[in-house]
Amino acid sequence: MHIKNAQSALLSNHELLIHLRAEEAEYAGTDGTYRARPKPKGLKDVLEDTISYLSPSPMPLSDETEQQEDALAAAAAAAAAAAGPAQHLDTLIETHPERPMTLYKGPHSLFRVLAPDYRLNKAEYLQIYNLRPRTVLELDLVIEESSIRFEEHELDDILARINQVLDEEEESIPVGVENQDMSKIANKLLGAAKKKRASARRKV
Amino acid sequence: MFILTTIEDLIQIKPQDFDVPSAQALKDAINTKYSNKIVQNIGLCLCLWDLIEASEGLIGHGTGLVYVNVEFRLAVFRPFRGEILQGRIKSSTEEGIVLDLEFTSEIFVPHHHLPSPSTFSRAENVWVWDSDGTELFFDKGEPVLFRVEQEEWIDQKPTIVQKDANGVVIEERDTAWRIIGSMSQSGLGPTLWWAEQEQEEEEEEEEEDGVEGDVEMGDIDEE
Repeated sequence: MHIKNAQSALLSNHELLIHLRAEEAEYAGTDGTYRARPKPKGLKDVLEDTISYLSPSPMPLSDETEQQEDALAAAAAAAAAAAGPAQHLDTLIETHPERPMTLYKGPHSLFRVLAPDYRLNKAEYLQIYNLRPRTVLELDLVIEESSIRFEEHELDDILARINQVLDEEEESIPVGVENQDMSKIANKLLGAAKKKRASARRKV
Repeated sequence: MFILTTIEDLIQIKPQDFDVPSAQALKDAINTKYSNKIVQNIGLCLCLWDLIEASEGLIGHGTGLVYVNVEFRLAVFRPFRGEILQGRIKSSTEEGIVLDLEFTSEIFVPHHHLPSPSTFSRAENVWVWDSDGTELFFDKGEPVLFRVEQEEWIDQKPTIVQKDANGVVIEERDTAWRIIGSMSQSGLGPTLWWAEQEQEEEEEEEEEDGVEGDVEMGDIDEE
C-alpha cells in the first residue's frame, strides 16, 4: 500500500453525508437499480454510525395538553439546541437537492460572498460549513482572534451573510453558475501559500 | 473533520466476483479492506470516495486471484488541530471525560482541559464546573462542543495470539489512535449551557432597549 497524498482534499460534513447516503442507497438497492448487495461489515458499521451522527433524529414529541405548550416549546428549543450543528445539514440538503456544489463554487458560495470583504482561512470556512455559527460566541470559537481581526459590527455582518448563503434556495440560483470560471481573488485566503509558477499554471 | 486521502494499493479480486462489473468488485474489496479501520498517520478510514485509476488485472500463480493496481481516494476522519467538533459525553473518570462521536469513541478530554474550577463528583461520576457560584454539570449523554488539541498514535505491535479455554481468540488491543480534546474555552462544553445564556442575554438586551429609548451606542463615549 502506497499513500500518494495523505490529504488531497478537505470535505465538509454536508458533502460526506450526501456521499454516504448515496452509498447506502446503492448497497440497499434503493437507488433505482433494485440491486441490493450485502455490505462488508466495517462499511455497514461506518455507514450506520456516521449517517446517524450527521443527521440525528429529532426528539419525539409526546402528547401534550394546551396548558403544557410552553414546556413543549422549551423542549423543542432544547432539542434544536441539543441536536445542534448537525441538524442544519438536513436543511442544506433540502435547500440544495440537485446542485449541492452551488454552496461551494461559483458566485453564490460562501467564499465569494465573504472573501471580497473579509479574510478568513480555509479551516474557518470549513468549520462554518460544518457548525453553522449563529451567534457571535460560536463565531468566536471558529475564527481565531476574532476580536482582534474584526469589529463587532463586522462579525454581525459575517453572521448575516452566512445565514444568507446557507438559507438560500437552489431554485433562485441560475443554472450552471457553479461551473463558470470566476476571477481569481488574489491571496484572499489567509495562509494561502505562494505557489510556484509551474504548479500554478497546471489546470485541474 | 473529514478529508480525502489518495492511496495506491494492490487489490485482489476473487474468482467469485468475476461476473460482477470490475468497478463494483474493486469497490467492495477496498471497502472490505479499509472501512472502519485506522491507518497509521492517516486516520480512521470510512469508505471509498472514488476510483482514479486501475491497471489491468494479472493472475498470480497458484490461486485464481486477479491482482489489480488501483489508485483511489478514501474518505477519512481526521480532524485538524484547533477544529471545533460536536460529540456526546460517554463517561467520566477522575482523569477526564471520554467523548463519543457515534462512529468513534476515542476522544478524551483530560481534566486540565476543562474550565478551571472543575471538580469530579464521585457520587454521580460527573465533572462539575463551578462558575461564579453556579454549579454546571458535565452530564452523561449531553451533546457538547469541544476543540481538538492533539492526537496520539499508539503503535500496534503484533502480539502472540491468545486463546481462552474454548479456543476463541482473545482480542486485547489498545486503540491505535486517540484524540485529546479541550472544553476550556467559553462556548465549548454542553451546548445547552450557552443556549440558555444566549436567551438570558437577549432578554437583558430587550430590557435595556426599553430603558435607553433613543440613545444610540455611538453617542456613548467608550474611552
